[in-house]
Parts: sequence; C-alpha cells; structure tokens
Amino acid sequence: MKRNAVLLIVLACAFAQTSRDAYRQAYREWRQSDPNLEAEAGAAGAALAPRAEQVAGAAAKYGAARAEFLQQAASAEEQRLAWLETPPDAPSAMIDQNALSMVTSESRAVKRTADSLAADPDPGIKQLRTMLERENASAVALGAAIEQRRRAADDVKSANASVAGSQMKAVDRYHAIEQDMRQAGGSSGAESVAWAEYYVSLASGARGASAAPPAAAPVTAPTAVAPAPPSVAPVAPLPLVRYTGAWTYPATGGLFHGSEPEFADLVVHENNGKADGTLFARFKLPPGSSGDPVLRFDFSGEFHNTRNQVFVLETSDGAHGTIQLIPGPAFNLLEVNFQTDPRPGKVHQGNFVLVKK
Amino acid sequence: MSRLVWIALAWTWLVLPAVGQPAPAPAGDSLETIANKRTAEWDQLARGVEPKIARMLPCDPRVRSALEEVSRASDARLDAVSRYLQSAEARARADVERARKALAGEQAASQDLETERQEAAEERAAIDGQLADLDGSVAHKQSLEDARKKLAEIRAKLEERIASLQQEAGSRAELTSTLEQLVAGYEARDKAIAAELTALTAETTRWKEFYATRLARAQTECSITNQDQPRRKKP
Repeated sequence: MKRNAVLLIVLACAFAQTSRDAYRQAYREWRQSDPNLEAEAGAAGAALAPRAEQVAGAAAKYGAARAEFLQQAASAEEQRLAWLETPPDAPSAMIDQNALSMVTSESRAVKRTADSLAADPDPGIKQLRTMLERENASAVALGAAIEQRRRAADDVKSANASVAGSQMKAVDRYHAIEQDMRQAGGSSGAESVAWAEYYVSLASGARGASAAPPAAAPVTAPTAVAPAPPSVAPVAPLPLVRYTGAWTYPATGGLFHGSEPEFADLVVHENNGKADGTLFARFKLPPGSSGDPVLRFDFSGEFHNTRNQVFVLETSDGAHGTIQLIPGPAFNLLEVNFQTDPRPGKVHQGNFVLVKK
Repeated sequence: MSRLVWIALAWTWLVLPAVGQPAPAPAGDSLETIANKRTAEWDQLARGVEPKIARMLPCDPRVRSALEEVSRASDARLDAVSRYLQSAEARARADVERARKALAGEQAASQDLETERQEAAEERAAIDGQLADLDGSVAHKQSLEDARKKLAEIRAKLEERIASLQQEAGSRAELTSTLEQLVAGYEARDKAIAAELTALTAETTRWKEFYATRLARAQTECSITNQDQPRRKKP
C-alpha cells in the first residue's frame, strides 16, 4: 500500500500541471528516454521488450498530459464563448408613438387660435396671443426633440439587429472550431493508442526476429529464447493469474488518481495467450457536472512478456483507447490505468487500484 | 460649523458615488414594465386633459390641477424611461467588455494554434528519425516490418492532425474577424443607447417647458377674464 501511495503521489504530481509545460516536459522525457530504441531493435531481441515498455509508458504519459491540456483548453474556450449562445439583449426603443401626433395636433390648434386673434386690438387678447405663440414655439421645439429621440431609438434598433447578426455568425464560427478541436483531440487520442500498439509491436517484432533470425542478419541476441507455445505457458513474466479474474474497487479506502470511482468491476479472461475483458465503472463527478458518470468498455489483445500489460479498448459508445494492467505489490491488487479518445461529457481517463474478488 | 463639514463629507461619501449609476434594485424587465406603465398612465391623462378643461371656466381651479396632474405624469414617465435606458446602457457596456475579452482570448488562442503547429512539425521530424532508424533494423529483421508499418500509420495520423490544425487556423481567423465585428457592433449599440439617453434628457426639458407654457396660458386666460369683468361693470 505504501508503494501505491507513493505511486499515486507521483501520478498526482505528473497530472497536476495542466499547462503546456506539463506535456512538453513529458514529451522531452519520452523522446530522451531511449533514443536508440529503433536503431537497436534489430539486434536487441527479447531484451528490447522492457526498454520498449519503458518508452511506451513515457509516451502514454505524454499522451495523457496532452489530452488533459487539450481538454482544459477546450473548457476554457467554452467558458469564454458560451455566452454567444444567448441572443443579445435588445433594449426596447421606449418611444410613445402617440406623443408626437398629440403634440403636433396641439401645436396646430394653438397656432390656429393665435392666428384667429391676430387682428384683435384688445390688450388682454394680445397678451393671450403672445402666450399662445410661446406655447406653439414650445410645442414645435418639443416635436423636434421627440423626433430626435425617435431617430436615436432607430439607431439603437439597427445596432441591435447588427449585433444579433454578428453574434449568430460568431456562434456558427465557434461551433466550427469546436468541431475542429474535437477532431484534433480525437487525432491526438488515436495517436496515443497507436503509440501504445507500436511499442508492443516493436517489442514482439524484436523478439520474433530473434526466434527465427533471417540468414543475412549479422547479429542476433544470443540469450534470446524461443517462445513457448502460447496455449501452454503464460507469456508474461508474472503468472497470468495476476491479471485474470474478477476485480473490484473497494467500497472504502480505495486508491485512485483523477476521477474517483463510485464502483468499478473488471473481468479479465485469458485464452491461448490472448486477453479479453470488460470494465464497468461509475465515477463521482464534480458537483454540478452534467457529464455521464458511467463508463463501460471491452478490451482485448495479446499478453506480452512484460510486467505491465497494455490492451486496446473500445467503449460502449465507440471511443477507442488503451488500458494498462499493472500487477500490484500484493497478489490480490491490480492497478488499472486507462485512457480513451476524449468525448464531451464522458470520463476518458482513470487510474485506480482494484482488489481481487 | 464642524457639524456642517461632517454632513457635507458624509453626503460626498455616501450619496455622490451612487449618482450616475443605474438604480440597483429592479431588474431590466421590471424597469421596462414600470416605464411602459407610466407611459400608459401619462398617455391616458394627456389625451383627456384638453377636452376636460375645455368644459371648465377659465379660473376654475380644476384647470390648474388637471394640467399639473398631466405634467407630473409626464415627469414620472420620462423618469421611468430614463431609468430603463440607463440600465440598458449599463448592460450594453458590460456586453462590450465581454465581447472585448472574448476577442482577446480568441487572438491568444490563434497564437496558441501556431505553437501547436510548430510542435506537431517537431513531432513529425522525430518520427521521421525513428522511421529512418527502424528502416535500418527492418533490413536485419523482417519481423519488425509490422512495427514499421504502425509507425508509418502514426506519421499519417500526425499528418491528419496537422491538416486539422490548418483547418482550425482558418476557422479561428474567421471567428476572430467575426468577434471584431461583434465588438464594433456592441460599441455602436452602446453609443446609440447613450445618444438616446442624451436625446431623452433634451426631450424631458422640452416637455417641462411645454407644460409650463400651457399652464402659463391657462393663467393668462383666467387673468384676462377677471380683468374684463370689472371693466364692463363700470359704464
């Protein structure tokens, strides 16, 4: 358990960084871990397997760090641009259509009355006429002010329409980018899976060659041993029982990194040196998350002569990925490390320790 | 004296900061509802006031009160509209800021994409190196051919990634351009609302003048009627 705790701390440190630095560091480590692997593959024979396994681990670490970064970048972008989906606020013009007609007709009536009194010499009437003219001037000025605000309100209306149009266009563009990012994320995920398969193939290719070296091959690994028939003897350095059987996540005190399983059940079968199995798990998601907590996938592949076994998986909704089975410090512990193509709202990586049922 | 100074300071600290800011309490919708309600109230009074006072004697006190009532309703309506527009302007300003931030973020994301492309090119060069090394090993051990094929497939996948990054760069350039238009649009809308508020202030002044002159005419009508009566009694 102490080893597991240390392992989890190391993993936590590795995954805690989410900037480019984290995956760049992982990339450098991967590339510097064994730069002569391919050049020496022809001569190394079975001895290449642990080297390939180590490099595969570094490649997987890079893939996971990069997937994490891409997911974080996508979430940040989503947060930054999600508001585009909400149509823009369109303030009302607040123009009373009756006001101008009311003022205009009032102005006309006042002017008519003032004009009708134009010839009256009575001082009182003259005083009234002056008031009427002043009132008319005020009504005319008011009409102009109403008209000016109406024009300003029209400008607001056309600005609203323009903003709504631009925002709709921006939403379309953003959706296109979301699709591009998903595609790029998918390509990255597919690359990670392909790298895992490549290193497995490299190791078995090197081993296969040593068993039956071509005549022209100048150097062969003298210590290489021809593999036994797979149906009879296990190909892994540890007994296959360390991987096969039914495994479960403990109800209390479980060890995990990343998403915490609520439960996880793993079944692994072996047949003629080949593995197949199923993982069914439910994860505890952060509060408020609308993601799918349930994950189910099948996996299969050949057992290899390495401690850690890597198999290709396919989830129930068609995502691809890899699962690594790492025998624990005790015979009844098995560490599981998986990653799949990132899919929105889906758990795409996990790392936890299971107990044999 | 010192008490007056303290009152003045308190007024400066407590009251002044609130001046010029949109009323915090009701949300935009309720301000719009209030403005519409006040406008409807004024509209009803304004339509009825002239026919109503036409049937009254010039010095009937109800003339003045009817004109004052419609003037007060006008003030309340314009005040409510002003509050609503101030709130709309505050929201418009916030929209401008949000759009500017989105644009800045998008410009940064476009730069990040260039980094992605450089890194992908670096990865491609590394794979080419691996392929060259592996070609040499395959010449010695044919069983490595499958691994070589897989590595070539990875290189093809990387090419796909580079192509989709290229496509993303195009989409991002379009989004950046659209966000620039959006920022300009939001700025124009903010200015338009501010211009409408200015126009409303001018209109409010004109309405006050209009009702003041209407009230002054009513007073004149009353005063000349009262002047006439004693003059006719004398002969």
